[in-house]
Amino acid sequence: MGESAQASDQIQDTVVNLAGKYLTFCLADEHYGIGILKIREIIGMMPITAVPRTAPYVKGVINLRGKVIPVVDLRLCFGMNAIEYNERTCIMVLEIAGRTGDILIGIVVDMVLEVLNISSDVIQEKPEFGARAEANYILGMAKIDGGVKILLDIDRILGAEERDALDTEDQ
Amino acid sequence: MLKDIKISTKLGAGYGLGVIALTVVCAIAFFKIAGLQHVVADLSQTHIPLFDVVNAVNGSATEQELAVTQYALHKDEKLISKYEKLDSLMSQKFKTAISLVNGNPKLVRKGWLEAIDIIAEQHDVFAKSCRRYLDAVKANQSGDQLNLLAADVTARLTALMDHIEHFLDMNNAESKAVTEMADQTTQSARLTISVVGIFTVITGILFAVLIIRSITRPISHTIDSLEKSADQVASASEQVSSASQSLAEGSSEQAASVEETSSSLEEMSHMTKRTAEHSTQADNLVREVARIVESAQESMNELIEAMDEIHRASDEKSKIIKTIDEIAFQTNLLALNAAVEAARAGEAGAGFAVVADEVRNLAMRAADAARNTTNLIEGTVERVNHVSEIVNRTKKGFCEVANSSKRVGELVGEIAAAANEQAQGISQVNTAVTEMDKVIQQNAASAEESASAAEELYAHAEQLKAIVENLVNLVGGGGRDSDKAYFTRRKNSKPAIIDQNAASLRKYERGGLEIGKVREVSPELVIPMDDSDFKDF
Repeated sequence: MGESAQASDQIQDTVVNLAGKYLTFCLADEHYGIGILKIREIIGMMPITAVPRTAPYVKGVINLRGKVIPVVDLRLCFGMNAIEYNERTCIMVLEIAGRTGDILIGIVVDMVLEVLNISSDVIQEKPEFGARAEANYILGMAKIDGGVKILLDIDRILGAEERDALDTEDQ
Repeated sequence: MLKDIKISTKLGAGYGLGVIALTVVCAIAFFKIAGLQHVVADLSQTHIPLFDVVNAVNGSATEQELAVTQYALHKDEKLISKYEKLDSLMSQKFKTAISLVNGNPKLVRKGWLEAIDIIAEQHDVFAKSCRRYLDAVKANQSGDQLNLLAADVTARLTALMDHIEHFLDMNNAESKAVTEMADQTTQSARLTISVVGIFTVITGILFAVLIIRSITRPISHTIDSLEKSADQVASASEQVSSASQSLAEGSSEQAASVEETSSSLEEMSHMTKRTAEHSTQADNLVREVARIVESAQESMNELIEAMDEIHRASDEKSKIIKTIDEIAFQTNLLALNAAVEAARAGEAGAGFAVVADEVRNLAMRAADAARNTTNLIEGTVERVNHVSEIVNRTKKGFCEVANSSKRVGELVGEIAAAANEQAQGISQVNTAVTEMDKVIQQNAASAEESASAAEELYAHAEQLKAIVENLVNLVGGGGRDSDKAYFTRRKNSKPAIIDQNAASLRKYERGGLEIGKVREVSPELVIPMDDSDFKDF
C-alpha cells in the first residue's frame, strides 16, 4: 500500500511534469504530441535527397537554409506502412539530445495540427504494455475532445534509433 | 370359214344362188317356152293359116265348080263374076300360102312350095277346065260337050281336091309332128323345171339354213357382247354420273373455299397496303426523329463544350483556391513556428505567442474560407460533372437513339419494301385465285355437263338395250313373254337399280344363248313357220 501510494505520487509528479504546450500532429489517423521545446521548426514538404546505405526509415537529408538535416519517416519508425506525401505532409525539425549535444532531425508527419496547452488534469500515465523498452517512448496520454493524443518522448524514439544506427555503423 | 365371210356376202351368196337357180329355171323355161312359142308360131302362123288357106282354096274351088255348074244351069252373069272373084281370091290365097310357106324354111326345105305349086298347077288346070266349060256354056254348046267338060271340071276339081287333101294331110302330119314336138318340149320343160326347182329349193333351204345359222350365231354373239357392253356402258355411265356429281359438289366446295380464300386475301391485301402506308409514315417519322436527334446531338455537343468551359473555369478557380489554401497552410506553419519560437522565448515571447495565435487564427480562417470556396467549387464541379455525366449519358442515349432510329428506319424501310412486295404478291395470288375460281367454275360446269352427259349416256345405254332386245327378238323369234315383262320392268326402273337390271339382263343372256346353239338342220324346226311365232313380228 505504501508502494502504490508512492508510485501514485510519482505518477502524479510525472503527470504534473508532463503538462505544458505540445505541438500535435497526425500520423496514421492517430494524434501525437511532442513538447514544443523540442520543436525547432515546421516546414512544408520539400525534396529529400536520399542517402544510400541507411536504415529504411531514414529518408535522406534536406537542405534547410544551408543546413543539412537528416529526415526520418516516423511511420516507418513505428513500423507502419509508408504513404504518398501530399500537400499537408510536413517535416517537423526537432532538436533532440544526442551524444554530443542537440542534433537536428526532421520527421515526416502526415499533418500538423496545432499547439495545445495541455493541462495535467487531462494527462494520464502511460499504460504498461509489459517490460519492453519500446513503450518507453510514450510520455503519456492526453484526453482531449473525446480523443486520445499520445504524447511522445521523441528523445527515446530517435535517440535509440540513432544509437542503433550508430551501433550498426560501428559494426 | 363361213364366219369370215361378211353377212352381205353370205346373203348375197344365198340370194345369188337362189337367183342363179331361178335364172337357170327361168332360162330353161324361157327356152322351152320359146320352143313352144316357136311351135305355136309355127302352128298359128303357118299350119293353121295354111289349113285355112287350103281349105279356103278347097272351098273356093268347090264354089267355083258350083258356080260354073250353076251357070250352066242358070246362066247368071253374077255367077261368072263370082267365079272370077273366086279365082282372083284363089290366086291371092295361093300367094298367101306361098308366103306362109316361105316364112317357114323348114317347110321350104321339105318342098312344100312345090306342093303348093302343084296345087296351083292343078287349080290352073281346073280353072282352065272351068273356063272351057264356061266358054262352052256361053257358046251354048251341046249338052254332051257340056257334060264332058263338066265331067272334066269335076275330074280336075277332084284331082285338085285330092292334091289339096294330100297337102292338107301333109299339113296335118306336119302339125301333128310339130305338136308332138311341142308336147315333148313341154314335158321336158316341166321335168327340167321341176327337177331344177326341187334342187333349187333343197339347196336353197340348205344354204338358207347355213346362212341363217352363220348369220344368227355371230349376231347372237354380237348381241351378247352388245348387251354386256350396254350393261357396262350403263354402269360406267352410272359411275361417271356419280363421279361427276361428286366432282360438281367438290368443285362447288372448292369454289366456296376459294371465295373464302379470295376474301381473306382481299383483307390481307388491304392490311398489307395499310401496313405499307404505316411503314412509310413510320419511315418518315423516323427520318424526322433522326433529324431531331441530330440537332439534339449538336445542342448536346454545344452543351458539353459549354460545360467543358465551365470545367476549365472551375479548374482555374480551383488552382487559385489551392494557392490560397497553400498560402493559408504556409501561414499556419509560420504561425506554429512563431508559437514554437515564442514558447522557446519563454516569458518574453508571450505577446508574440498571442500574435502567433492570432495569425494562426487568421490562417485558419483563410484556410476555412478557402476550404469553403473549395467546397463550393467542388460542389459546382460536382454538379457540373454530374450534369456533364448526365449530358454524356444523354448524348450516349441520343447516339443510341440515333442508331436505333437508323436501324428502325432501315427496318421500316425493309418493312415497307416487304409490305409492298407482299401487296404485289397478294395481288398476284388474288389474280391466281380469281383464275382458279374461274377454272373451278368451269370445272363445276364441266362436271354438270359430264353428269348430264352421263345421264344421256345412261339413257342411250337403255335405248341400246332396248334395241338389242329388238334385235334379239328379230333373231330369236317370238314366244318370249318373259321378255315383254322384262321390257316393261326395265322401262319403269330407275338408274339406281341398274345392277339388278344388269343381273336380269345376264339371266336373259343365258336364256338367249340357246338361239346360237347348233341344231339339227331341219326346215320345220329351224324356220319358225308357226303363226304363233309370227305374231311377234
